[in-house]
Amino acid sequence: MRIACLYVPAFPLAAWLRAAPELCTQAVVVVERVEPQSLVLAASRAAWRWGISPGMRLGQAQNLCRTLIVRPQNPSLLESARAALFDAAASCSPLIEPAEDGVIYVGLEGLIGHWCASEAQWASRLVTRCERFGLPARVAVARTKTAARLAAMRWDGVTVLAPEEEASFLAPLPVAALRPSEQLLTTLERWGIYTIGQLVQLPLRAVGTRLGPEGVILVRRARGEETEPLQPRPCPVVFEEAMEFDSGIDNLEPLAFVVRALLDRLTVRLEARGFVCAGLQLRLHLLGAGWEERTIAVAYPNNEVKALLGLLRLHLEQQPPQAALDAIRVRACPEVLRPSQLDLFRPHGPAPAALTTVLAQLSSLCGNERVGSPVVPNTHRLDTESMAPFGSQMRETSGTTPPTSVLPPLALRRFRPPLAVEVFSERERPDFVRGPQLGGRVVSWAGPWRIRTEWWGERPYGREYYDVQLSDGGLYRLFRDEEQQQWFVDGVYD
Amino acid sequence: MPTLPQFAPAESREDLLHSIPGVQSGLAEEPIVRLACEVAPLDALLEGGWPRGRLSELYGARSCGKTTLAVQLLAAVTRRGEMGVWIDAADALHPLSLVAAGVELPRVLWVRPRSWQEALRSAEMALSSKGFALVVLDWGEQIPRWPSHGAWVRLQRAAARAQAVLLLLTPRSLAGSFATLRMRLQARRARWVRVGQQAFLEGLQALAVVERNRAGFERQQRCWEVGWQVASNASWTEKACD
Repeated sequence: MRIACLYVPAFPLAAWLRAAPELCTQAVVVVERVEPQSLVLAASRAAWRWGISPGMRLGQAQNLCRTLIVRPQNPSLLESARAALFDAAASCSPLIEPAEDGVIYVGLEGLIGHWCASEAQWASRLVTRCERFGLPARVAVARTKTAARLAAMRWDGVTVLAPEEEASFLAPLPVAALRPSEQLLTTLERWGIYTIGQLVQLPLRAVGTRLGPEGVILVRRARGEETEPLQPRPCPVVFEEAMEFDSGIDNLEPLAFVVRALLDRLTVRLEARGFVCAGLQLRLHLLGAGWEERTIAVAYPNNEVKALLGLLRLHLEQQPPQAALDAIRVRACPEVLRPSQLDLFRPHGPAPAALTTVLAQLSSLCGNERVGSPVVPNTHRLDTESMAPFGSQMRETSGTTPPTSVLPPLALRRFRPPLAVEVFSERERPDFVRGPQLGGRVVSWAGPWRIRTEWWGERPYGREYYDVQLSDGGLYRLFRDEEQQQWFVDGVYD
Repeated sequence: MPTLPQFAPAESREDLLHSIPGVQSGLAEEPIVRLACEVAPLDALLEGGWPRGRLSELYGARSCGKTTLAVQLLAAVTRRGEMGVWIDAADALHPLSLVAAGVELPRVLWVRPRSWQEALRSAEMALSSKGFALVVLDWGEQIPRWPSHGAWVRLQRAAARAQAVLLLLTPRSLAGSFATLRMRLQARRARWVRVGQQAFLEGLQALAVVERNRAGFERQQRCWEVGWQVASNASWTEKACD
């Protein structure tokens, strides 16, 4: 099986530049801590031009370049960049083995000829995808992981090593590139073996006798033989982007700016993996108050940054954080977008992004519990209604319900809560009704219809319903509650 | 001898109008698309249905049948696979009535604002999504304050952009000249039927009067009946124009 190595050089720096692309052309270094004695972990190309390289002390680097931008290593950014790199690889192959930071091995079995015409084309596609994720990647394809990794570390862009070229490529490289133990490397140097080409010349049996199994593995690796087969791992489906701030943010505008960048990165990752965002989880680290978690539902799963940002803004406006933030994590709940055939003869609804925004705005204005689709619960009680999130049951409907009858039934307008009224009865039927907003002699009436249910529970329901027409012209639905021994007007027919 | 100004010939009138920015949109006669409520006599009264992209008003006193008519329109909308919004400022919507009328509940967005200001804003927001065919603004019976002219203009424009029917349900006329179509419903009589010892409320007969119609004929009226279990053509009585 051919193996590709996906490699992002200077990974801690790449993680920073992914979050702050405006620094790409600047002299930037990433250090463990911003102290003069700290070692430079990664340096940008501009910093290299000033003579700054990894391993140097920060103080030395700052002496070389006065305008040097120093960034501390950021675990949140590293984690996000790792996940993004993994997503990029997972979007191009199902066989993935993550190695150290910035290195992922990818199996090409079954891909060439089906998904892509050639290995070079596949590798170019992977590099392009990584660039969309904000990661400058290199890809090399070879027979073994070692050859692929060394080629990726050596050359920019895409490299495809043919099997017959591998030996000539590896020969001039130093033995240290094969990552032997320090003791073994010292022994080989004492023998005068400095390059892989020299190591390949050694007889395998003799090396085994003198250096043991470690030496044998090293020589076989140098000869281009597979010593470590690819061990694919399942792809985690976690889409999270995080950001830590140097100083606390206590204003919504700068926070929205940051959140937009996080959502941009998240949606690109979701799209690459074929998912849409069905919900957002927001974790806010408040200064002096720890982590605070929030969940934001997305009515229509989509990857529109504008719509998702609108949702987050509305949520934060409605429930602003109680203290300044020094870190934020946004996690998207992925959902596979179900393909469906649209009807040519039926209108399409609102665009998902627009609908999501409008639902969020309405929820923000009126409250979450006051916006949704009406639902009729499966009960005999006539006083229970509920709301479901709008769009949650849309897929189950056909949209082809036939008309119920030629003439529509009378609709009821409910009084919430029911109006308590006085009812004067004569011969066991309502004769006069007096209450707020209504009153009069009963002109016509129908009933009673008795409903008794849930007598086994804590809230027994026993009512006698009447339809009455009062002398004021109104048609009302009355009921008498058996438990309270009280008359109520449930609603008016209109 | 003074010369009279030369007027443009008739064939260049359109060119002249199009050359004046902002004028042609007001003068161009766009065909009105209508949303039928699938009650044939009322659709005939409205010349095909409620006009899309316009503000319409349906008003009447208690038990005049206005809610039933709006629910019927909502049912027609959802049956066609479109979506509707019911802005329930009165908090009076009865979902069982919607089910009985054949409304597909998942296609209905039910918004229950806490004040009339919220109701107006909700209507404007719902129209801004440009995907709902019908927005019913149920004002309820209490009208605490007269909305400003600006509010109606905004709603008119939002409805025009969304090409949706914006239907205002009120106990009395509110929108005035801002409504393209205004219909008044007036209850005539309730119909009761007796089966043995038991009586039933069968339906209602109401008079529908088109008081204002900038998209068609005005002052048309018809009787309409709701709730009858047995449909009969004879129950529809067409009245002559006032």
